[in-house]
Amino acid sequence: MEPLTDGPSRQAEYEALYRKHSARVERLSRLLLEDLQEARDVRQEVFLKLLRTPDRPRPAEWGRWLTRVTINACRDRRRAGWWQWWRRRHQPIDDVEVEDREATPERAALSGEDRERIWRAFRQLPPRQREVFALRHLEEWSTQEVAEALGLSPGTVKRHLFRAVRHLRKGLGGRS
Amino acid sequence: MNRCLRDRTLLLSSYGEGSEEDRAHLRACLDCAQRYQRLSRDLELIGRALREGPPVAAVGRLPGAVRRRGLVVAAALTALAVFGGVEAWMWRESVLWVRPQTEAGDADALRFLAEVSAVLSSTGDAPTADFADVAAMPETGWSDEWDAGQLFDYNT
Repeated sequence: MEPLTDGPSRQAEYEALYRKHSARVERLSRLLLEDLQEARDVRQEVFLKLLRTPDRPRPAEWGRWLTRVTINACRDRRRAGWWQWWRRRHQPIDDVEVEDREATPERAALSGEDRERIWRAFRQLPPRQREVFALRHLEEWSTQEVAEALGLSPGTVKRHLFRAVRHLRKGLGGRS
Repeated sequence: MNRCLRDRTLLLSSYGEGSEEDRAHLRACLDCAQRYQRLSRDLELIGRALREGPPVAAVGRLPGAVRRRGLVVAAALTALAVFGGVEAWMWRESVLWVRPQTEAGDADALRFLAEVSAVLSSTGDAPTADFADVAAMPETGWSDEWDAGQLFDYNT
């Protein structure tokens, strides 16, 4: 991918990137931080960084660059507010923030109970497993890409992924 | 070929990272095929649930800033309570150390010590009334060979 150019085309390019990736960045941040407001703050932070780094060497692909910056920003926030993160991690499912959305047939198919179980299990995952699962399963990165982004070996990524999936399935509660 | 796939291998296969041998086994083994199907269904459900966001809840949370402020206030109150407790304990200890003894207690103790001292240092030449009183006490219990009253006849 080419670097962002200066002038009006740069602005257009920035807006295009924002439209394409902002929802994904926010969703990933929310998965890693479990707080909608914090996730929105991270999204702003990430795109501000994108805007303010004209002289940096351009990454080969903006999407992956944004994802890496998002993960780092989430880590920083988690470190800064570890007690808050710990508190949320142990928070009962009923205390989670309400998000009002329209019911769709697909949403109805996945029962509320299942979603609660899955989210409860997801909250209990260690940060590293959460990152690996989010990138490998939800962002659909390859094992090698996840390993490079997180500075791990492919074997370690597979191990984290396996443990995360095992825990999540266990949380889903004997559906097999 | 005959051994069923491990869970980990099954997971890697679902991500397209299994070997050709694993895929061949999946086609041939009904048990593994069913396990694979269940795994795929669970992964699909998990992915969908996480993409949709957290479930609707009965109770909303307080905003982050309010929660942070509440925790700071709670920490400050706890620190204040601990500091107050330590101070109160230290004050109480210091009062016990400097509090003056009662005069009545001192007088009783001094009188007792004087009596004991007089008894211990007495040579019999000038017995005191107190000594006589003390010596006379066991009189009733002693034998006829001598009594305490006779012992002090020279005094009269």
